[in-house]
Amino acid sequence: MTVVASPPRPAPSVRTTRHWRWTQPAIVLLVGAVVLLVVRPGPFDLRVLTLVAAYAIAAVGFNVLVGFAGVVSIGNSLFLAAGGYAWAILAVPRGPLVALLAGVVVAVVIAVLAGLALLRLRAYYFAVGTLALGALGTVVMRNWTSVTNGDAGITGAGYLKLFGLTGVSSIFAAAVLLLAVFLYLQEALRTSPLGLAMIVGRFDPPVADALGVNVSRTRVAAFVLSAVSAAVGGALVAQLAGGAFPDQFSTTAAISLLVIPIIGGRGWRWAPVVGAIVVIAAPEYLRFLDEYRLAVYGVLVTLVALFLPGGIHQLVRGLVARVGRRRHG
Amino acid sequence: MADRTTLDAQGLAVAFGALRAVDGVDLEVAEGQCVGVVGANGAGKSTLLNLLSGAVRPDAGTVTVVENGRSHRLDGAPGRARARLGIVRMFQTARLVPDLSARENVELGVPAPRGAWLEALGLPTSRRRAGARRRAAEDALARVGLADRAGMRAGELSLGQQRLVEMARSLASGARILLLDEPFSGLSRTAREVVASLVANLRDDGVGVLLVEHDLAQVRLLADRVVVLDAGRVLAAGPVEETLADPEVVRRYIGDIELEIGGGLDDARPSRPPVAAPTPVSAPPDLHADRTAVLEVRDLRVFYGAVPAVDRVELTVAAGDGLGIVGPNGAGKSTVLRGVAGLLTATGSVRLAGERLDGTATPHRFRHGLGFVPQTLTAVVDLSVEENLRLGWLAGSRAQSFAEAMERVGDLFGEIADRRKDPAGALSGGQRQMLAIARALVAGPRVVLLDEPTAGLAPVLVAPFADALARLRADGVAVVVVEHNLGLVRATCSTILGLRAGAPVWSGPTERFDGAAAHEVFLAATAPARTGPSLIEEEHLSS
Amino acid sequence: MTQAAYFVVIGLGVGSVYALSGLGIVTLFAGSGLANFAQGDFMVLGALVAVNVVGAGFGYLPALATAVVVVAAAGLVLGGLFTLPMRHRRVDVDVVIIGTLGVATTMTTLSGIWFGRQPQRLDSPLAGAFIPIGDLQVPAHYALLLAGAALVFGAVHWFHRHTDVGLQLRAVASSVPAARDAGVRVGRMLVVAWTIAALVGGVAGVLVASVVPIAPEAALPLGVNGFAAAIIGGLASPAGAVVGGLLIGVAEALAGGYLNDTLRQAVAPVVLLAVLILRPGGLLGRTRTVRVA
Repeated sequence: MTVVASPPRPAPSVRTTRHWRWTQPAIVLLVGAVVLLVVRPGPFDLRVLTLVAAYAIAAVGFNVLVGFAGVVSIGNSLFLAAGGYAWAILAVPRGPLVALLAGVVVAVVIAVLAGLALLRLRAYYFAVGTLALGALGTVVMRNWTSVTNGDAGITGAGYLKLFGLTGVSSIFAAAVLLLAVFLYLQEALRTSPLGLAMIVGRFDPPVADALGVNVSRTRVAAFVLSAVSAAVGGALVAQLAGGAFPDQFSTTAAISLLVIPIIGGRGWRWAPVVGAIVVIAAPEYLRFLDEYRLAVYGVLVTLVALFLPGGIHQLVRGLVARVGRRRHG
Repeated sequence: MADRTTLDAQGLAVAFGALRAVDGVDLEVAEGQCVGVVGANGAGKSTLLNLLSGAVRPDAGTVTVVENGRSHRLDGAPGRARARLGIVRMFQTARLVPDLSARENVELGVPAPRGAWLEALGLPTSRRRAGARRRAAEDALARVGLADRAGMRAGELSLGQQRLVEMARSLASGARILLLDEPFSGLSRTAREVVASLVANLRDDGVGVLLVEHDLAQVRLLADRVVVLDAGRVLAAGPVEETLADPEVVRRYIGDIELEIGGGLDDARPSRPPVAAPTPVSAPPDLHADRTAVLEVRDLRVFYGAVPAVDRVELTVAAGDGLGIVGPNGAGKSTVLRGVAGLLTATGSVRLAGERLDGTATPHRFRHGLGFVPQTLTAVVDLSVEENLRLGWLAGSRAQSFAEAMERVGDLFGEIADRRKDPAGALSGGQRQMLAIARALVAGPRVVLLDEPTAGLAPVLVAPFADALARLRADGVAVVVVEHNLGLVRATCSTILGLRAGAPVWSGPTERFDGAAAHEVFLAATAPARTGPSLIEEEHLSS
Repeated sequence: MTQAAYFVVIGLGVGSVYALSGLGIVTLFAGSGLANFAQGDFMVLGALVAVNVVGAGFGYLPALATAVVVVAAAGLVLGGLFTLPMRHRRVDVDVVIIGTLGVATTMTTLSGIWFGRQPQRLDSPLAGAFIPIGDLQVPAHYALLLAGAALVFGAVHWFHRHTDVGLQLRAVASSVPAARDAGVRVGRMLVVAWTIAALVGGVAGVLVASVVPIAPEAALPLGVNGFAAAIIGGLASPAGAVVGGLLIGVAEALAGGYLNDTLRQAVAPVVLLAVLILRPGGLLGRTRTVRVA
């Protein structure tokens, strides 16, 4: 086949893929401050917003896993649970830092072991394996009563008090702060050699290999990062709920987590936030659909997966391109 | 010598099933040296590269890298082990990550120092490192003339630019040995010149280059030594000019095209029977009465991106006729067939027995009497021969019952019918090719399109194969063959269509396809002007 | 000893249902490389439709027939839906997997709305009949489970071996590009594979509802059991799914009988993980590459 290099086209609105790393965290912090100080939402709305932020944090790691490294995991509820239970058990007796760190460490240990064991497999085998991992996690949560208190769960978890705030406001502030940190890390990772290695490993493993990238190792790294962010998100979910319960960390939670970056547009730096708004907040406000809202949400996920694989990002990009074209004539 | 980096392969061999793709190849590339690897399609060039780069594990033989006097055995090691030793491979088609910017794609090639993963934490200390990496990438892009494209998404670059970005990635990698897989194919003349001068500079800077290339002009220009592969073996190796002038090389490699042309030069019709082909057959006389076209293709264009890979091709075949499509590598021959079969999106009209087929899906065309035999044998190996044939029958017009169709196969391809219960995977290469044709035949086609049917077929099998095609024609089926073996084309086709660079340049009865015609099809300059005739030199032609 | 035999029989009965669930997963995976996370929901849908038909005063067989028709129709629709995007572009299998998760969520929710969220049991046509094993009595329905599963397996096997559509299905399962070159309409075959997977799931659901009360939320564990069964054959071997399903059924029954319920629940995930880690190609399967082109 003969393909001739076409003459240099008039440069389209050149889109550089570099961003100032602080832009995103700054926007998040600003919006958080405005919400807290100016908008002052009612308790229900604030709760929803906090849940959105908590899930967005968890989804940052997932965005890295699915969007950068191209690995689908259905077991990340396990890491949410690790963070949540560690918080519920340790926050009051040992302090918040220990509780947060303990959750992260447990999650990381599980992720390293599971990652090393399972990530040499092809994508769908790994997905099936993590499904089993999540199912096993649920069994443990419900039955290891001496630690998890079984189906009843653990109550009286306490929460992080920041800036003299109390109640949900404080949790919200903590969630926004942590979200800003994780978004900063996400962008730092994306431009680093490790992040680039993950991305090339997803698109073209043979090329990655020829470039000296150890694909399965970068996949494990992505899995571990997703565990860290899920554990932190889990700790926030536990604070918001006032404790840790098996139902919070069921496979349904793992699916929500998975769906967030997909709906947002995997790999897009705003995907965790935009996706979390759609996946977590929208159902809360779709209550008029009553019991059908989960069904609607399922249909939405299927349609996006099949017909809009780039998620909302794809829509945004298409819109921007159209506007740009109109402007240029 | 001891402190130079060399890549040394000894006795490399690998087989895929019955096909011995690479069979005992020795090769050495040292720093500052450019070694060309040439050979016909299917000679094992790409497989050899895959073996050297670690993408395929050899069945036998060794790959050793000597670096600073220490040698590293690499056969069986993954590709990334080679990358660490400075052995970098460039792929045949540009393989960039479309979502990353050109610069980020190049950054991927920049060797990461120890602890580079810490950059992922975004600590202030990493900024200097990141800056250095970015500058290295931008320098490399500047060297290929794409500095102003650094921020564009790779997916938005033209294909030629993507190739240059990939070249920049190799430059940025600080490679000691560079493995290049057909780096010039698909490039515009300007881009070719850029790549050629880059390769020459790299070589002069002390990088070892292995250049797998079918464009002999570029090999002559750049290589110090050349290795000629044929059927997985080294046919000849040594200094470029001598080796390429070796009569055996000319006969075996260039010969597919050239020998037959040579025959045509002495005489308008080849006086001796072409190599490995039976007596030429003409269409059965009773069919001469009805010369209406069964397949009529008008104004066929196939696009890759915005560039037409095939432009305004017309062809007409009557029942029982044979049409051969010939032309140099990359002329778009296979693309024409796939366009006609609907496997590639094409514009223009395709009529089969008067019925418009353009715009319809491939299965629809199969059902209406179009048969297609793809280049790589694609029998479903897990199914039996008969089941494979039944698949073909199901896809076809079903004008005759399966039993009748099988009877016809039995008449034409006895040895296939005899093995109907065996799994297709157990057939030999020649039998599988027969199976592929038989499968097209049971569909009850009026026309069968064959894409390089003898590629990878042992020479002794070409004659029986040509015979099978002749029988097919005698049965009233029109045949369109894309083939590099002119002997086969002469034996089986009554008309010839010559393609070059995607456009028809010659067309007429086989008898009139003489030396001059062949010269026009194969040799008229599409290669860079300053390097002269690209594929074959004048003196080889007339020898 | 009698007790052990009792558990084995119970386990074989339940295991044959897992085997069917696994067969559904294998059918779809072999054809399209698709890990279908909604397989458990096909079973639930089948079970709940049957329960409601029986509740409306019809017999077991009409209930079974209705359930099978409804579930197969659902499979047909989903198959069409999932084949649509493949017509014009290459799709990433991982995105499609997420699509099946969406289907699972939707189906679980809809089943809950239409049929209620309480576990429901279907009366066995053999209710009250028992098979004596020593001094223990095994409900005769367990024999029906085995027989039903064997029948479905036989039918599916026959369909694959002796019909033209089955032949084309096998071609697609062997190699999508090769099948396409042979003129097989691959998209259509994927729809057929979805329908068969759904059909098999529906039958399995109806069968199992007489020994285990089924709630919509049971879909996921049923699916996990199906995957565990299927993975033993490397996700691509129907025979592997049979062996896997029976093994897991028996292991669960023994674990539940002699140890405790927690360990019983852990059997399928543990087997699944162990096989993936130790023999990713499956215990019986060979390693092979399945791709969607």
